[in-house]
Amino acid sequence: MEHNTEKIIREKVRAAENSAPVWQKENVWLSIENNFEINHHMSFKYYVAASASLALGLFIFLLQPKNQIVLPKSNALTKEDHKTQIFSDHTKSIISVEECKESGNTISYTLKNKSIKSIHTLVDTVVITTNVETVELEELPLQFEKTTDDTTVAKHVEQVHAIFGVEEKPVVTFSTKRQKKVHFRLFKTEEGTSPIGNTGEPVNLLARINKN
Amino acid sequence: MKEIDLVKNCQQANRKGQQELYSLYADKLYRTAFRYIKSQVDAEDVLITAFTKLFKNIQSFHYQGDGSLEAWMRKIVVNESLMWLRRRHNFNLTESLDETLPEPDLTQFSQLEADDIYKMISTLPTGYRTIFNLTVIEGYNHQEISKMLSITESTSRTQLFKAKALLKKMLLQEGFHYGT
Repeated sequence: MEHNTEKIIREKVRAAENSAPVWQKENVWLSIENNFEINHHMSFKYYVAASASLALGLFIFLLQPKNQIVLPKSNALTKEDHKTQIFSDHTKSIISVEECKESGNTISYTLKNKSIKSIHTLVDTVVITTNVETVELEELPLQFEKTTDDTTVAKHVEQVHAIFGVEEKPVVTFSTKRQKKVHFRLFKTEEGTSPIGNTGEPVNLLARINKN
Repeated sequence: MKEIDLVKNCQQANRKGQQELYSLYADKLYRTAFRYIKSQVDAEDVLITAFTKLFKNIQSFHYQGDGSLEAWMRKIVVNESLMWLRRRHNFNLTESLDETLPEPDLTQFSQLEADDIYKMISTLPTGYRTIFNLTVIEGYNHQEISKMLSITESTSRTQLFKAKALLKKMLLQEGFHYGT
């Protein structure tokens, strides 16, 4: 019964909605059209901006100097040669080096612990060997030195650790306590007279009492 | 033009097709929005947003026979109206309801003229009107309404009860007496 009533009400309301009301139908349509035009303009602007930023990014990427050293696999030496060399058949191991500076026959790499760890785990073929000792991946940064026979020797760069001063509380003794006592200067010598007790002559003393 | 052709034209972003769809359904959808919002200017704003979304998302609409397009458009307009209302009205504010009270009978109300029913619904307070519209006119259940308006089911039930009670009271005060 209740559902029937609701059904009747629904049908009547829907029927009432079929009649044309008085409203700004044309203006609303114009606004909808404007919205579409704005959207089209906006999307065009986004395309232009995206293309421009992509082109700029590519341009900057191509302009970057490539100071990467990629050693071909054929030059790679093995552990048995007792000479240190970085070798990899995957150039990515060098790419992940953050900074590479070359001065004379020394090439300095600035590596981050995190990045070297990731190389180690991602690229299985990357091996760092040395004729002195095995280079610990954790001990960074590393310095690679070119030798005369075109191999590279890895060295640990001595890291300078900052020394932080520790401020300790001074030991308080009886004497320091005494030193801390405030001395009041109550007497002052007259002008033209010598300090007390130096000459043995009678001295005029001026006493000042602060009433406040 | 058939409904399915209208859909195809709109899906191809044909401006004439869009305009035809608008001129065909705008009046009906405006009255739907007005039934919720009760303000001409705001109902027009809601319709602008609804039609803009509608034309944007018509690609995802799958035609399922006569009436499916209108139902889909009505749903968008109702949702937009609810979004508008939710920004301005707190649907959680409601009094408690005595569960033992009998459900108000709307038989007399249903016998009124269509326009009178429409007008009387429009005079209901926002909370009552919204729940009444959603339940009786759109056919949503209380669980669906609670999700749509972020209210509890009992709040929805209470508001519907009060809406019906108020309609009945208004009917008696106005002196409408139909049938026996």
